[in-house]
Amino acid sequence: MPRFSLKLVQKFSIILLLVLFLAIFSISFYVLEIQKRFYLKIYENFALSSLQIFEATIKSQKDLEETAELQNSILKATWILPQISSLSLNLFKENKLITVASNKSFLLGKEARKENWDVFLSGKSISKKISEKGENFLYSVHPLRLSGQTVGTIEAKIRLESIETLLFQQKLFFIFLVFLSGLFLIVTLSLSLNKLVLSPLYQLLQGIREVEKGNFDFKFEIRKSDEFSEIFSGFNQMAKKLKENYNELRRIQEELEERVRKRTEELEEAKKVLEIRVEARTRQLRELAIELEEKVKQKTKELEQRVKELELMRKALLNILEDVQQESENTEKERKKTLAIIENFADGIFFFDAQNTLVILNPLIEKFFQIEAKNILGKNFEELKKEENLKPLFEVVKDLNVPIFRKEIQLRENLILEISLIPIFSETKKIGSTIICHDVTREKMVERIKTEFVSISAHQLRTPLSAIKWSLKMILDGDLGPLSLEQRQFLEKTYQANQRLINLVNDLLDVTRIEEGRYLFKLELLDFKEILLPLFEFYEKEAEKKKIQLINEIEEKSLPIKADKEKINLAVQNLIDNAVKYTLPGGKVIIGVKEKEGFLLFWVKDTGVGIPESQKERVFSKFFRGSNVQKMDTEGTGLGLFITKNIIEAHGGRIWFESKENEGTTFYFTLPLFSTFQ
Amino acid sequence: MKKKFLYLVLIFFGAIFISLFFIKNYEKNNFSLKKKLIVGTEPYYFPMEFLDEAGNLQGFDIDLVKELGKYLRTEIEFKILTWEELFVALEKEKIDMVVASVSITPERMKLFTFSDPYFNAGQVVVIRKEDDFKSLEDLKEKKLGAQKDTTSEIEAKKITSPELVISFENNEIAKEALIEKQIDGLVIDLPAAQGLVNKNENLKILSSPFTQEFYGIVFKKENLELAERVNKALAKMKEDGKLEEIQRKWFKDL
Repeated sequence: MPRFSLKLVQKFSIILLLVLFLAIFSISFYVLEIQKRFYLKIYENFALSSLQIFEATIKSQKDLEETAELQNSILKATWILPQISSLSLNLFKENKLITVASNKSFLLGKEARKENWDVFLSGKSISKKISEKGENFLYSVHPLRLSGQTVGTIEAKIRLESIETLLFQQKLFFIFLVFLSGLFLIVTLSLSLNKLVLSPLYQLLQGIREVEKGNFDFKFEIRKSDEFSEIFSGFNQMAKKLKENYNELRRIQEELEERVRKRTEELEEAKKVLEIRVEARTRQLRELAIELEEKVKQKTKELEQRVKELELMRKALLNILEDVQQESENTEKERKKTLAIIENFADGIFFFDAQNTLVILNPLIEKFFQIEAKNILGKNFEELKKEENLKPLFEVVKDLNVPIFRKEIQLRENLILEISLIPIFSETKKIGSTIICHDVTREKMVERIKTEFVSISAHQLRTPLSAIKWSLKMILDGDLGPLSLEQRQFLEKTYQANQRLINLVNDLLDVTRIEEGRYLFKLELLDFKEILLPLFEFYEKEAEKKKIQLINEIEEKSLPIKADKEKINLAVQNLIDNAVKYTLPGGKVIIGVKEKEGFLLFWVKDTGVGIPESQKERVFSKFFRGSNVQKMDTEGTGLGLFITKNIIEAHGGRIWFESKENEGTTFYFTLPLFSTFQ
Repeated sequence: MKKKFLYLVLIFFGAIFISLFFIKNYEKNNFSLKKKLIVGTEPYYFPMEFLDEAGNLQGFDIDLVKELGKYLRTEIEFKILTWEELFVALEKEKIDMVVASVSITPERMKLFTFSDPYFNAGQVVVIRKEDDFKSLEDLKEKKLGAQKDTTSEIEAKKITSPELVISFENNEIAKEALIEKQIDGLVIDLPAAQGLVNKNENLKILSSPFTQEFYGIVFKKENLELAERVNKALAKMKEDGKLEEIQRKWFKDL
C-alpha cells in the first residue's frame, strides 16, 4: 500500500468522526431528555396516585383521630413503595399545618414545609424536582379533602436515584451503540474509498516511478472517461515532453563535462605548487614548536620550585597558627582564672579600660552600691557619674588618672568603704584603672568602741591624777611641814611620774577628740615665731643637757598665720621633742622655718636613729612607735605624731618627712600664711 | 492497515471518555460513614435471629445486616445484648443500631428513629400440607386455632365465624391440635409460624401476612443521617430483589 493512502483516510475519518460526534450528541441528548421527562412524568403520576390512594383511606373526621392507624397506613405505603423517602400527613390545627403522621418520627408534631400551605390554600396538587444533599427527589404535595373541605395535606418525597441510575445506564448504552455503528460506517467508507480513489492513484504513482527510472516511453491505457482518465492522458503528454527535454539535456551535459575535465587538469597543476609551499611552511612551524616546548619545560621547572617554596611557607604559617592558637587558649585560661579571682575577691572591684569604660565589676560592687551589673557595664566613666547609687563613690573619685589611697566613704549607716583607685600600666602605657572598695565597716565600729572606751577611761583617770598632782605640789612646797632631802627626792620623782601620766591622759583625750571630731580650734591671728622662738630657747637648754647641738635656721621676718596658738605650739613641741629625744649625744638638731609660695615651711632635722623603711607608712598613725626607739625610751605614747598631723592638716597645712635609718630624720610641715597681715 | 485500525480505536476510546466526562449523574455514594458499624441484637427469636449449634449468629435479621454492610460499604460488628440492654446501649452510643425484630409503633417512634419497614411480621395461617387451602377465603367456616388474648385470636375471628375459633393456652398446644386435626388452621404471627413449620414437615404457611406488623431497624433519635443511609440501602435492596431473596431463604413458603 502506498504511504499517502493512510493520511488521506485519516483526514476523512476524523472529519467523519467529528460530524458523527455532533450528530450523536445532539440526537442522544434530545432523546434522553425526552426519556427523562417521560420517566419523571410516570413517577409524578405514581406519586400522586399513591397520595390519592392514601387520601381515599381517610374517609371521615374520625379516621384522622386514629393516629396509630394513620401511622400504620404510612408504613404500609413505604413498605410497598421503597422509593418513598418520606411520607407525611399534615393537618390544619390552630392556624398551623402540623405533621400528625409520618414515617420520619422527627417530623411528627412539627410544622409542615411552606409548600404545604400553597397546596392547602389553592387546593391543587404540586409536584416538583428538588435537590437535598446532592440527591434528587420528586416532591409531591396533595390536598387532603374531607367532605369537600380541605383539612390538610399529604406530602411525599420520592427518591429519583434509581431512575437516574437507569437513565445513566441507558445513556451509556446508547452512546456505545452509536459509536459502534459509526465505526462500522468508517471502515466501510474507507474500503470503498480505496477502490474508487486509491487504486487509480496507486497506478499514477507507478507511472511516476517508471518515468523516474528514465522509462519515458511509459504510457497509460485509457479505458474510462472520469477525472482520472484526464489525469492519465495529461501524464502521457507530460512523459513525451520530458523525453524531449531529457535528450536536450544529455547534449548540454556532454559539453559541460568536456569543459570540466580541462578545468580539472589546470587545478591539479596549481595544487602541486601549493603542496610544496605548504611543506616548507610546515617544517618552519615544527621548529618553532620544539623551541616553544623547551621554554615551557623551563617555565614548569621554575614553577615547581616556586610551589615547593610556597609549601614550605605554608608549613611555617601553619606552625605559627598552631602557636597562636595555643597562646590564645592559654590567654583564655588566664582570663577565666582572673575573672574567678575578681568574682570571688573579698573587696568590691571596678575595672575601667583605657577608654574609661567600665568593663568588669564583681558581685560585691552590686551589693555595696545596690546596682545591677547589666545596667552599668559598658558605660563610660562620665555616664556613670550620673548614676544615683554611685554618687558617693564619684564624689571621691573625680578623675581616673589620679590614684587614691584608702579614702573612706560612708554609703549607708552600717556600710563604710575604703576606696582605692589604682591606674594600671603595662610598660608605661595605661591599660585601665581599678577601683577597689574595701568594706571597713567592722573595723570602724571596733575603732569607735575603742575610742569611746579610751575617752571614758581617760576622763576618769585625769581627775584623780590632778588630785595627786596638787597634793604632791602642796607637800613639795612645804605646806605640810619641812621635808627631809631624801623625802623631797622621792616625792619629786613621784611628781614627775604623775605629770607624765597626766600628759599621757591628755594626749589620749586629744586623740579621742580628734577621732570623734570634737577637737575644737580657737583661731586667732598670730606670728608663727611667737610660738617657735620660746620653744627653741627651751629646747636649747634641754639639748645642752643631752650634749646635742641645736642649730637655728629660723628666718628673720614675721610669719603671720591664723591658728589656734595652743595647738600649733603642741604640734611644734612634739616634733622638736621627738628630734631631741631620739638623737644620741653628740648629734645635731636643726630647726628652721621660711616662707615659700604663700606658705610657711617648717622643718626639724636630726641625726637620730631614723625610721625603719618598713614602718614609714605607719608613722602618723595612732600609737605608733618605731621599733628601734622603743628600746631607747619607754615613755613615748606613740600619740604625738598623730595629734601633730591632725593639727597641721586642720589648719590647711601638710606634713611629711624624709628619713634614713641610723642617719636621721627630717620632719616638714607647711601652714598657709595670712596674706593681709603683711 | 494495522496502524489505521489503531488510530480508529484510539479515537473511539477518546470519544467514550469525553462523553463520560459530560455525563454528570454518576454514583453519589461519597459521604462519610463510620468504618465499622456496631449492631446490637438479641438472638433468641427463630428464624429472625438465633444462635446455631456452633454458636454462630444466624437468621433473617443477621443476613439483612450483613447485606446492608455491603450496600453501605462498611464493616459490621454484632453485639449480643438483652432486650433492655439494647436500648440503653443505643442511647449511650455503644452500638449504632438495633436489629432485633423490633416492631415499629408510634410510641417507640417517639423515643427512637426507625428505618423504613424491612419485614412484615403480620398474622398468617398455618395449615396442614395435605389440605388444599389456597387462600383465606377457603378457611371460611373452618375451625381455626389461636393463642388466647392475642391479636391472633382477634384476627382469627375475622376470618371465620367467632364460634369456630378455639383459643389455646400457647401455640405449642395449638400446634398439636392442628396436627391432630382438631382445627384446620392456626392463626399466628409469621416468624412463630416459620418456627412451627420448620419443626413439622407436615405443616405449611398458607400465604403472606394478611395484617401488618412491621419490623424496623432502630437508631438513636438524633442519628438521622445513618437512618437515611440505611433507608436508601433498604430501598435498593427492595428494588433489586435482595430483600426478597433473604426472605425466601428463611421463609420458604412465602
